[in-house]
Amino acid sequence: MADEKDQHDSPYFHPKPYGSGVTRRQFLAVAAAGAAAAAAAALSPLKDLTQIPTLRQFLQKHYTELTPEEKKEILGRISAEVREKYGVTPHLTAQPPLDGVQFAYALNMGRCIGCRKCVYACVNENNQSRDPQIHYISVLEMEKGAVNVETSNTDYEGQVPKKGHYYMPVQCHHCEKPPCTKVCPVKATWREPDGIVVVDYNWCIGCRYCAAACPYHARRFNFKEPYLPKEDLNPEMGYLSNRPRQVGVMEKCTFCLHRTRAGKYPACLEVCPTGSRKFGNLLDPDSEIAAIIRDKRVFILKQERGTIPRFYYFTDV
Amino acid sequence: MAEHDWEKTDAFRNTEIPYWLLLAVSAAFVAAAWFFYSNRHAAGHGGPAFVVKPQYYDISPARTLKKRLETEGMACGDCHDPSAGPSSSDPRVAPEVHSKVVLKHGPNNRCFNCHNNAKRDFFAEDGGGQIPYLKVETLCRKCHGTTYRDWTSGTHGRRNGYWNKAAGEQKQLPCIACHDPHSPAFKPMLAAPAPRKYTAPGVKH
Repeated sequence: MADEKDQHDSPYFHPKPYGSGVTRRQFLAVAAAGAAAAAAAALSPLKDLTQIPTLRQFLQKHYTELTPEEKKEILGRISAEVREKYGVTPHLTAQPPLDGVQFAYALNMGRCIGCRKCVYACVNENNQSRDPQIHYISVLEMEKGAVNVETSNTDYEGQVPKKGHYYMPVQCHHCEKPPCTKVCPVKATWREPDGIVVVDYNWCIGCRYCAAACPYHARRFNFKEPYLPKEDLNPEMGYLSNRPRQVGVMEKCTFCLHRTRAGKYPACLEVCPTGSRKFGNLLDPDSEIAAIIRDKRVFILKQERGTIPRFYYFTDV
Repeated sequence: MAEHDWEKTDAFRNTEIPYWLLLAVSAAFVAAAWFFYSNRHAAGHGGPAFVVKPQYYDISPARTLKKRLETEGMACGDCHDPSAGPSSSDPRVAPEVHSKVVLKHGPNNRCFNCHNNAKRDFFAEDGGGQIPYLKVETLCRKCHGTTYRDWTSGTHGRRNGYWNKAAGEQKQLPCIACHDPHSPAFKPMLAAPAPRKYTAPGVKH
């Protein structure tokens, strides 16, 4: 009555219920082994995690709350880290802001020829990543007749200046009302009493709010581990300026804080072949920056933003 | 009929899954994980890392300064005897010896507007006076008064060293460190490379 043909017609009939190849148990065993191997492979990047902070790093206080002894200890620790990674003992300082000094920068738009020497002098001074490239200064090439940042070009090459064009280098404007410091959720970036807006790379959590808030496109993020050849490292370093950065932190122009607080000019100014770049103490009436504010036609980029920059563009005449 | 259709759609249920397929699929997952892990640094890199060449940040000015007024390595007085007195030839035409000099200084087209005709090692001050080579700005200010004013206040030209004169020496470049006096307009120069935007995968450090 239940002959073979009936059995075959039945939807519940399996000629070989668990097959001759794989049983359910075997299948699960192999699948579990495969899944475990795949998971191990996927997690293997954790093996290379070298940036687990030490307890002391983890418990470091905010820079503005550090005592001189704590600062000294931290500088020693960072120097040791740099020596380990680059084989050079750096001269790492944490200079305090100068009394009676308000730093400001001015750039002569009529003289700039867009040669980009400032860009690379900055890279050379401030230990930026060479690959991927990080530049604090963007030189905008614009057509004469208007200040139109939207149609500007940063990719020009060859002989400069190009006919019918002028150049406007843009970097951190060190605003008196900086929108970038307002949005920082952890106060890793702030404005120092001498007017320099700084970033503590040990405090930055990499949320990039500040880059979004900056109207001047001045902030640069380390999306990858910065690559800097050992021989290119500049051993003159400041805690808040050009000490080597790690992946996942924001950085930007600091007016070469480690130089300028020692009384020197910034690196971008020293290299400018046309002398378009001017820097100094606004409070000193004999400084070139005071002379520019007093005598020249000064222009502020995106004045309507109300950021009150400490970076001025000017022209002769 | 309906039963028969159902049986067809259930064909897979009766198919055996061989061992080798299971192993191959597992191995493929592991291989894929390894591929993405090992290539995690390659994405975004292209070619060798950018090298910041020293000429991109060389701070020497556009022109090389000399210590004295000279041409072809010889001081002017080596040929021009001061006792010979002033030249009376056409002051707009340079002699054959100085044919390398191309004068493109606008309407200032007379050699002795700037060079002292009697004492060739000096520049020409008003009324036959002498300006030494290293005080060239006193010559240039005879015509370029407003530029000289800006230069003294520091808004024209470049200063190097220390903004804070109490902390160190501040050097100010003279006019001829950037401007060729015979052709003073600043010359075009080669721009340092543009920032890299596009990279292809490949090279690791």
